[in-house]
Amino acid sequence: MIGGRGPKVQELITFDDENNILSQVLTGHSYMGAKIDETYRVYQNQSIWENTQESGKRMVKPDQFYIAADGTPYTLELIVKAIDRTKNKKLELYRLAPQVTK
Amino acid sequence: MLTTEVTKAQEKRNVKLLALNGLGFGPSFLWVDENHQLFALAYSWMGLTPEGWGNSLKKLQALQDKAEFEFNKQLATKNSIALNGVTVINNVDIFTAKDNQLIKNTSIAIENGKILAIGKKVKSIKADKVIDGKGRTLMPGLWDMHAHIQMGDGLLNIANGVTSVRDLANDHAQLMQTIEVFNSGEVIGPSIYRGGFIDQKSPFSAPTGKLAETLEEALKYVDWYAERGYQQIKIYSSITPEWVKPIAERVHQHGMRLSGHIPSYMTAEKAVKDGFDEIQHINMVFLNFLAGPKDDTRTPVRFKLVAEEAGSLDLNSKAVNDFIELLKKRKTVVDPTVTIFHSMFLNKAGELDPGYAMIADHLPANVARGFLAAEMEITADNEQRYADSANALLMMIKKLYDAGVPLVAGTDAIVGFTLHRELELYAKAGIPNYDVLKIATINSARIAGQKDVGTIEEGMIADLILLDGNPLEDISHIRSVAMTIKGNNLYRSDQLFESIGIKPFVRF
Repeated sequence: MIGGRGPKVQELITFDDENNILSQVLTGHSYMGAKIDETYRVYQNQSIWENTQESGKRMVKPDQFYIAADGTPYTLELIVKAIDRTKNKKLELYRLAPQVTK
Repeated sequence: MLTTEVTKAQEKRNVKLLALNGLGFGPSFLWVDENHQLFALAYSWMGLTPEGWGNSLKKLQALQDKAEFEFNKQLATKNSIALNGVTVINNVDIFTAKDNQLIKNTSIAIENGKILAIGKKVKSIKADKVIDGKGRTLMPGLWDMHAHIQMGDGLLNIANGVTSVRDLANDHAQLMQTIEVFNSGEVIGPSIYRGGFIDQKSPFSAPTGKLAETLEEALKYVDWYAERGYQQIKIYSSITPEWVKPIAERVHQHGMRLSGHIPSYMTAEKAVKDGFDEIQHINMVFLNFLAGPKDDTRTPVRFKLVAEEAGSLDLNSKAVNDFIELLKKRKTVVDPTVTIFHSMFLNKAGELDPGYAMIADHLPANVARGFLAAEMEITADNEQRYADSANALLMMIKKLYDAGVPLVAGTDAIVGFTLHRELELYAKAGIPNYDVLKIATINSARIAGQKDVGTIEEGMIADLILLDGNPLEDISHIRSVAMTIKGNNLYRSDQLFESIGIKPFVRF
């Protein structure tokens, strides 16, 4: 049984020499207990991710960014730094279009 | 660029405010240092800084509030359409919230924010502005009876047809500031009614409002809120059960109402007998039967227990019927916020939250993606049990309605959209659409103590919304807001939605 306020999350991130994210691993649970188990890795110019909600991979392109599904507030710093490296100060977010069901 | 200096003892740092666009509805603010490292997040309910720098939050929040105000002011200037003189809307069907059906194909005239005339009388009135209602449905603006409003929420409320909001816990100074700029029209937003929040200091206290360490202090806070014109007091889970009676007496002496969570280690029945006028959240009704004397409902036990056991509670048992009879006799209001629990018990990771699936593709990518996340761990083992419990919540709401227990609809979640879902779930529970609409209009207004708003009648405040469709036939048409009239302004929902990154649902 869980108790207390707030989620419990551990986030481990590794970067290359230019501060690009090489890997991001999150584990823990949400406030109400849903499992958090997320990995994002860059390997041979491909990014591969898996979390409890979705998984996917795509070619790494500049001006694109994967936001962790169960990320911590530190995500905002990662976004700011990524934006700062772009020419137009804009990022395209990785997105799986949600399946609309009725 | 907004920068400022913050200090910790002898140490000084320069930080700047950044706004990220596209993550949510409107900008997301954060403070960074010279190296673009996250320095602070400043919200009224919580903040984040490096260790030892917490004292700087107040200053940062004040600066951020100002930036937010400027942003919202610009949106208001761009998107408010002033109504001068008499405005006539022709070719509309009207749901007055007094009757159970529509007045078909009629007209309405408004002036100075009030309803001037309805029907044939309108013809003889000289109009300064005429709007074609296109055969759509005009009804009173909606009430959200459970919100924690921020300045940036105003526009999304109005876009979704919510013209009145009851706030049930907030920072007093911030709330008063928000009310001031909504009322002046400087920022787009609804009318606000206020519930003052009191909890007892504990490791589980909610981080807002007033926290009391003694009963005496709690009573002083009741007086404090009364002096500032609050209409009700909301108490929370950490309050000592023995405090409820004296708090209720003090609240009632001031002519206010008492509502809240049922304090931990207390039954709802006892709370009602000790003076509760209203119960927040339908799970609190279930906990009356499910929580044992050792269950600490200050913790997520208050959700988990209901998820596990609500479905197997006999809703036709004497205990349940007696409790509902008590609520009816005392005219105790229930504020179910059932959308939250329904989604919590049903939403599995990777599947779109059923409460928001129908709107997900209109919303910013990051918001829509959030609907894929689960709150509880739902497995093959508990899935059916939790689904039965979600259903039991709706059955309880129908039982309360049938018994004549007054209900109010609130969000406590996403502005506007959660209210629409809440009303859909009441209809799904079996409440006739006309009464679902009355819950969110006239009934809420009367419970909030307002007699001059909530219906469409001559002389009433012209808080009006125009819907593409007929919500008496399909409650989901409540989502199709084409325009909202509030005060002396008209707002086009399509324009408002587009201004904060939402794909409109209907064109004006």
